[in-house]
Amino acid sequence: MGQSAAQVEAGGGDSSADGAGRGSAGMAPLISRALLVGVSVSAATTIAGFLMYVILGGGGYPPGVFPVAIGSVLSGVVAMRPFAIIDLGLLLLILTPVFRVAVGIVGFAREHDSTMVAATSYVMCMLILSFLLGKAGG
Amino acid sequence: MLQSAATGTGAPTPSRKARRARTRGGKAIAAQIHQTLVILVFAAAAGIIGSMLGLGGGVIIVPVLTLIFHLPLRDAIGASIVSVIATSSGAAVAYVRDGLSNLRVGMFLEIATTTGAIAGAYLAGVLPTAVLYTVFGLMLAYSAIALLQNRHVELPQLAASHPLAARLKLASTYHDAVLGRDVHYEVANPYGGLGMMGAAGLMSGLLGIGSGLFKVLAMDVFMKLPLKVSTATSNFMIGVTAAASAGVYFARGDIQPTLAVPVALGVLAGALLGTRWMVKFRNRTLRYVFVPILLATAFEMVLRGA
Repeated sequence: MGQSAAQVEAGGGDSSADGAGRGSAGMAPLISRALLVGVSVSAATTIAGFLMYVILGGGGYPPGVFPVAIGSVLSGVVAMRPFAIIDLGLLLLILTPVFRVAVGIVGFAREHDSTMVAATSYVMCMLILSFLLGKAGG
Repeated sequence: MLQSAATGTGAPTPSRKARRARTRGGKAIAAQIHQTLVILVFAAAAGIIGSMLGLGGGVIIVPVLTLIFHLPLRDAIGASIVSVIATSSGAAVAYVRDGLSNLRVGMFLEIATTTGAIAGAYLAGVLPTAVLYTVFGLMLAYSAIALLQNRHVELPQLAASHPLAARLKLASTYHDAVLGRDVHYEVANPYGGLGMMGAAGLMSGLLGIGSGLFKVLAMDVFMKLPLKVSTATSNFMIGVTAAASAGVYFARGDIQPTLAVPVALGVLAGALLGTRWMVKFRNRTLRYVFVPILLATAFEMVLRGA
């Protein structure tokens, strides 16, 4: 992964023309890496949880029960319950696109592109709103 | 989520407990591992196809889990949401790095997809779902015709971008590995694109499937982007649309850990392969793969509406 990311950074050098050729190509390595980190950490956590589930022969909860709230996932992780660790990995996966949007806001702000900062911030607000609505209606 | 946090774990309803009885005990674990491996293979296939065509793979995951494994639709849709996010994040690592996803187009259009997704979740009880299935199904079928009319087009020839697209600097360049050169493209009809993306979001919020198809169509048919850019940008976007509804599914307990693990990991592995293969295809070939999946989904949706 290291050398391919370096290639892109070398290739992305033409973005100095501020979006003349490739719009916002300078941001691409940043976004790509944010996604890679999110996906890798989530996959590693999920695999660890699943291995524990197989080795221990259970999820660490009564049959049919698994944590569905952030608080109970975290307390389950502290207690090393396999299903809680799997769920932590899944939550990290769900949060990866949200993290990517946040990185996008920072990236556009660095390019002083106020229109795109506004657009991306709006998307972030919609995501936060959806999580709040989900809590209320879920 | 807060309420269940107080009780420690999600208290399952009796019916839920009953249909999860198969996860019980040590003996069941061997059977579970077998099921996990089989789902892993199907999920990898969904990841390959999804990452190549800009779809979340729900079109494959949902029928596999309900028809082959006889799992409840709720669990299948929960797994499909995980599949969409895994395809999107996994594929976008490569597509964004290689400049195939158009970040500005994607992030601009996400305004409409997230708004549509929230509106859809709100309207879920109000709008007649059967009618929506029919309307969206017919829209997809109609789009298949538009896509077929363009079947000989390798790259759209658009002289200049729409004024709004120009102001937002949406035009870009990607390196086409098959043509062996950098391809510059302009961007048409951003308002039409926003409208279609709103519909895609609405569909995701209301029905939970097919929003990737709408995204690809919005960019290919309306905005005249090269098909590879459309599918790569759709892949980049679908994770955000799905994340907007994933919290709800998670809190409701629709995302089963033992099901989500093979789906997420299989799809990630598939997406890794799919992104490598996709760049080697011609836009025209990709179109031929896309149309049957589009027609099958359209048919399925019209059937559900009837």
